[in-house]
Amino acid sequence: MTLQPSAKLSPEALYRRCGLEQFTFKTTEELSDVPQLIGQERAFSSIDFGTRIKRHGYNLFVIGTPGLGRHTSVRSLLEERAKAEKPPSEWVYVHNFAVPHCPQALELPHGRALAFRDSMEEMIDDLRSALTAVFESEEYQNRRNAIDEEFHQHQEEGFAALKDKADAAGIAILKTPMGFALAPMADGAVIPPETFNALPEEDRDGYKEKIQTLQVDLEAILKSIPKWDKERRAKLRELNREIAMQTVEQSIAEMTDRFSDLPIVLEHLDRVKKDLAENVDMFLGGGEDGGQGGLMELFDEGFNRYLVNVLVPREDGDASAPVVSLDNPTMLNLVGRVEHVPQQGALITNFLLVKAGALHRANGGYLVLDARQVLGQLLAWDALKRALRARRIAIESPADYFGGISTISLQPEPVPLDVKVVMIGERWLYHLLCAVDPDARELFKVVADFEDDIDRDDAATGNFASFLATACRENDLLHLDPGGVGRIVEHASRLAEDAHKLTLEVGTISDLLSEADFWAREDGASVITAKAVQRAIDEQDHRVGRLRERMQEYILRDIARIETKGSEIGQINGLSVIMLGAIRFGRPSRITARVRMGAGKLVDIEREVELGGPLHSKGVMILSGYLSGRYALEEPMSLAATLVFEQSYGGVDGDSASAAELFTLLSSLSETPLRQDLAVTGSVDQRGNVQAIGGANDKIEGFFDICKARGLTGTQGVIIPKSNVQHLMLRADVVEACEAGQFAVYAIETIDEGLALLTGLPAGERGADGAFPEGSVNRRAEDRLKGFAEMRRVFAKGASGDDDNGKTGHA
Amino acid sequence: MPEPWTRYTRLVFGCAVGARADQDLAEAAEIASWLGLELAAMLIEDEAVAALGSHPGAALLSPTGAVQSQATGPAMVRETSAATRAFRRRLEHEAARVKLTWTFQTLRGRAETAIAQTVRQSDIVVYSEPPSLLERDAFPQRDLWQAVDRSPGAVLYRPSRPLPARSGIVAIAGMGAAEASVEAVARQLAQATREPLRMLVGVSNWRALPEQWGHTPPRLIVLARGTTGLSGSDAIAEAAHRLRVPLLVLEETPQGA
Repeated sequence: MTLQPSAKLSPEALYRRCGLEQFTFKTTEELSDVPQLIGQERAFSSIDFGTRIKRHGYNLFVIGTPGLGRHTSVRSLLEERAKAEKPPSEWVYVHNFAVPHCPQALELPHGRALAFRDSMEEMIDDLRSALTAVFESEEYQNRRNAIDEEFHQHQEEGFAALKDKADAAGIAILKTPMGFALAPMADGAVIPPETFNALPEEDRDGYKEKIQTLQVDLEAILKSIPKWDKERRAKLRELNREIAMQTVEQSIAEMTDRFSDLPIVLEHLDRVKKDLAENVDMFLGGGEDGGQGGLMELFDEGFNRYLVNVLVPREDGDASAPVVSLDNPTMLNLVGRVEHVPQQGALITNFLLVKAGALHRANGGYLVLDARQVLGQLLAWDALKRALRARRIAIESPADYFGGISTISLQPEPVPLDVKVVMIGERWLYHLLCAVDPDARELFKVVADFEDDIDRDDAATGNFASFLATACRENDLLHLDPGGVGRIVEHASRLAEDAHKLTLEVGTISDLLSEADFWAREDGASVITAKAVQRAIDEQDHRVGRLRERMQEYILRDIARIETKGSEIGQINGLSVIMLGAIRFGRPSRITARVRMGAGKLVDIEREVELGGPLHSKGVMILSGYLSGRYALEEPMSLAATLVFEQSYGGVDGDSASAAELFTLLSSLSETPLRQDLAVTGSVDQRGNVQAIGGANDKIEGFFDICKARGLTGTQGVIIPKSNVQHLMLRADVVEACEAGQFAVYAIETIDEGLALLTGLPAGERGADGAFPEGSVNRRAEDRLKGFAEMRRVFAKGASGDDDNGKTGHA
Repeated sequence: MPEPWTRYTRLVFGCAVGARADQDLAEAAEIASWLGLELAAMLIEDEAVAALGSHPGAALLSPTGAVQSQATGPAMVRETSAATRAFRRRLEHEAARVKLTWTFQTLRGRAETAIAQTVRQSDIVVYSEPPSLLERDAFPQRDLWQAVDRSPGAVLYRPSRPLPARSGIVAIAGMGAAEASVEAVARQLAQATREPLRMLVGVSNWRALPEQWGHTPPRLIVLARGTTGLSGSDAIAEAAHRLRVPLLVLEETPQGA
């Protein structure tokens, strides 16, 4: 067996340690705070630009991977900027006296809305008590009683005269369900019809004549009653108005003095005064004449109509622009709503039930939204766009959008909108949104793209240490010693999947820091050391390790077949990564290939059964290209081959197994056994170059764990693309095993390098004669292909046709 | 020994078909509920009114004075039936609102005799003043008034235009055996309404009563017949009309005593 020592990586290449000599501190307590997130200068510059430019559509879309600290840092930056900005105007809704169902929006200077509301409440309260007293005064009661008495006097006089006349004439007046009646009477009772009919005709005529006369009188009285009552009500209204306005004018004058600098308030007070003059009956406990009735009464709400609905109450000390975050961005939470209250089975509303949305609260400042949540809420995105495009907030009912049965509600006057919206989302979400909705780019012209990682150099490592110091202080954690910092730096590289990068997922790092603090305190330590950090990492792995261990168990019990020793033709250990939420681990998979004579078709079984994704299929197709370009160039490709991930019952995607698939295909073709104590990962191009893949660390560790459990032999290892060496940040036990010569990681650039490692035979280069050297793997493969081609010619001569299934015809 | 007022068992509310009695019925139901009495509602289909549709000598007018020359017996029957159903619905609604036991019956014949035959000594009879003198003096209201006047039990006089915003119960202490009943009934009402009770002593003339309550007239005045110069039904009805406050007039001698 011939190994290629140059391909075997030294232990130093497997893990990039953090040099502690660069840290001059004893603990991070000595380090100063970092003012903002490290490595996000581009994003912060975009946010700065986006918040300063005051143009339509220059809202911000902050994109990046979750956990980068986008929400916290955006909020912090906006609050800082907001402090330097003026507080916005305040908006209130008042009753619209002309169109009651369209509440009127008034704009007031900052700090005046609550005063206006309180003053109006005070005025109405004062008026209620003052007017109640006025209307209970003896003078008023006497004048009112005089009016009432005049009316009743009219009625009583008319009725009394009629009654006397009727009694004298022997005519009864009757009240019937249909009105009144006059009938002949005798002995204090109505003469029954049969008795009346028995009377002499002249008596009957006499009664009829009297009744006719009385009927005229009764008609006249009954017809006069509504007129008298109308006159009475008019006089009462005039009296009420006269009495009330003396008090009302005084109260309004006081309000006018207080808000003399606000013309819009003065105009409203004028309307209030006019309305009060027309509706003073309210102060009399409802008035016997009733209100306007029906729908208008629902909107009027009596005294409430004079109150003020402050949309966004602002405290006196709140002298900066608002920064509002909305956790649940439903349409109604964004643009506001008109609430209703049940009253005797009906849903009633008025302008006081108009509730502000986040856009109202953020108006004149900043609104921070989570893009995924906005897009996940029915109608929320459309409502937000409409408001931003129209530059005003119109409160609408969701029912209006569906065109179904609409309840009677209010249509509050829209409020002008001047807000900077900051949406925070993932990159794919932003790009998808831009692709499907052109408005997204129009309305969110500024993109702030958060970096996922930064270069790992001394300066960045120093900043990273300062960031850790800040996090410790902000979260009240123990500080770290240099060893602890170094271990977290190394882990940050592992999380970045790159030995030359540091992840910027501050959320993940903060979690690790908190957990390391916990374990350090458990140990009674006063600082977080590398040991505590390692414990935190190990515990994290352990907590999510159930599935990994279960899968390893299946392999170790040979339920899932994975060979880790010996050699096999047409079989290889590929490597894949399982990612389920927080769970992530590498796992070996057995890949096999079978070949026979055919028409040059390579069958990817995963694809045939629709378990293979498009990238995997692409990788397999590349293999065809490789075979066609490498072997039997003058012969037709007469190969039929099948490739499969054995015991794989889920989807397979990605092209990281394409190199392994090619190795096993060539093994089967050349009938050369492959080493089973090696696992392979890497993609391949049509020229046979092995290319980088993701998850190299997890994949190596996945195979290592199986080998270690079965007992390390010293020959086991993993072949990876050379371009992945820079990503290696392997676990300590893997590195230690490599140092001890118990395990190895090989880096290759070409398929031929891999073939030599896996077969122990030279791959073989074409000589001057154009042929591969005798005994080389490539020679074997080419000879087999030529054999297939020859066989195919033979069959073609005597057969009417053939196909990939190997069916042959007979002459 | 039960309180004297507990000897009253029913509040009798009688009215003629077609009378506008919604407010009267609502207040009667509340008072019956407060006093724990059964509400006995009686609708009177007066025989004279029923016969008007076919009376050759009668003339009929609408409430606004229009002559109803086409009015016939069947039309009167239809109107009577509709008015009865409406009254019954209203009664059920009010009874459910204040949660009380109730009975309903339609009395046919002459109002005066129909009521007189039904009312017992242990009843409180409600007299609701009609809204106008014309209705007050028209049949069958005229007969109803006669029935109330001769009622052996207590009477609740309700004015046609009671004052708004009334609160509290006023009891007018008198002399004699009814005094305990007046106080007990007034206390029960005050407790049920959770409103203050004012006991007035030495009121010889009902016209002086408004001076006692100033700007807040009482919800109800309880007194015994014969106090404050009120003995006859006409005088009591006039007092209720002028004061614009309902008067609950108990008999000088407690019923059943």
